[in-house]
Amino acid sequence: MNTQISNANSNSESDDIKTLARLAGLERAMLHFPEDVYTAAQTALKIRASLNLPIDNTAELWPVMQVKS
Amino acid sequence: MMHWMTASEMSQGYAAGTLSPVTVIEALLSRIDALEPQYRAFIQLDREAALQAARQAEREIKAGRSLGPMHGVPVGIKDIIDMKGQRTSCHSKVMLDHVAADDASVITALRASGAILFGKLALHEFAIGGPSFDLPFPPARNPWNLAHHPGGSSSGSGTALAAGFLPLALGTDTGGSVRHPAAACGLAGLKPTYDLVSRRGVYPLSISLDHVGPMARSVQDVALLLDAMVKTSSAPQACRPETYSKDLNSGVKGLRIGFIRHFHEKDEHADPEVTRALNDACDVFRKLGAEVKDVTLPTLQEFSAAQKIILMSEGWAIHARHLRNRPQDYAEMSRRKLLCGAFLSAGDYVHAMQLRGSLSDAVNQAFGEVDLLLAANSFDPACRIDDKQEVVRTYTRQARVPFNLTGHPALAMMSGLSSTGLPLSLQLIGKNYDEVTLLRAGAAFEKATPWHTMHPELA
Repeated sequence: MNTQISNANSNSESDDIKTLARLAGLERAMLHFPEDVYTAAQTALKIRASLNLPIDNTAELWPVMQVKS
Repeated sequence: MMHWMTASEMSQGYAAGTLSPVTVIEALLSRIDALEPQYRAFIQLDREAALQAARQAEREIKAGRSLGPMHGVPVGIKDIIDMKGQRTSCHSKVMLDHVAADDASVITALRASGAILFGKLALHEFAIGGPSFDLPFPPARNPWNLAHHPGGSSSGSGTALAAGFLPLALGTDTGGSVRHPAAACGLAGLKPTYDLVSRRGVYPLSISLDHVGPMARSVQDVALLLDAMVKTSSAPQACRPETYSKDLNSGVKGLRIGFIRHFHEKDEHADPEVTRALNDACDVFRKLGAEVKDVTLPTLQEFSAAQKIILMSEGWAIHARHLRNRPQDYAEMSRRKLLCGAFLSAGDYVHAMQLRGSLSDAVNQAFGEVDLLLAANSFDPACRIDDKQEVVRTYTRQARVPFNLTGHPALAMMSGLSSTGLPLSLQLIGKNYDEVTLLRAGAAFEKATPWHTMHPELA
């Protein structure tokens, strides 16, 4: 298991990741490849944290929805 | 040497009656037989089918029934693109039993052009993994140095072209997968404007970031292949010229080129040899009469964060079922990347899509002042294929993802050779649907520099 999640604080994160993985239906991956699941979760958290720019919620979303004729 | 002939030279030889498709295919097969065991470019190669197609092309051309400049020219196909009746393995154990029920749209276009579809090429698993050794097929190697990776995910396409196995190949590009092997193997590779080439029948990785693109050893050949690929395009006809070769000899005099220096000098720090080659390229364009000036876009990190969240979210949507039921059938590298999407939310995805809109606006705004953009491609020469840490570290050091996010066309070209004998590369980026100007500038750079004439010394 990843050593980065060995302290008390990380144990809580580890539990959170286990719960999220279970909710995502990843029991089998958790059983056989726990390190891959933790690595993926931590990567996702890092990337989410990097997306902290202000967003204009009133701007038109692009690409816009197009009606089908 | 026939194996270094360009597709355009082959086509001219066929038209003049000085060369035959059968001779070409026999020569290439002989080279492949000698070298493929070390290079590992192919997943499937039906020699007899290729020879049969060559005989048929030869008969038709001789009878005056040529279908055009691609008739009888071999093209390798990344094995993520469906060809009716053949397996599309995606270089994965997951897909070993998958036989395509129909041709991908781009294959339909190539068949109509008379091209010889010449084997299915290796890739990084599902176009996302890396050079992995825990898959049913070995990873392709870099012909410039077999101990190094050839880039990816269109790894086999890069290897086959740089080894002289083929003059043309198809790649796909979601975060740079045409332009990365073009960089690592010293080739020309184009990620076209987002919806210029149909993706129907191509196994998806990220539906809004995926592109199909042409790869070759020259810009002229990229244009030739693109001409054939767009025949089944759903992009508006007004966006497509009669031929993408039309301005290849027009030079760059008067063109305004914006140099995105901060991507590789401030946002990240490229290898000094990469930076030097980019500065040299600016000088080349200036000497040819272009105006080159620095431009500033949002940071590479902003583009990268939005692109990754979109890719991981869309990739998870496609792979969730298999990752839940048979995670053991993925390579470790792919599994770790694809599982990320399970830990992102719908809100993250929408947030990234909102940012995508503003980042696209920023690039379009830059195009208000320039005709083309110039940027780094890979920030490092290709590392050793067996150095997993260095592979992981260097694969993300690049300036390709911004243009998957925005959809602008981007051309990768060789820009130099490192002190270790490995190719360096740059990118030119065009306005949406303006591949003609992009290829025009690429062709001018090629004429003024020796890089595209260099080939690896093979055993």
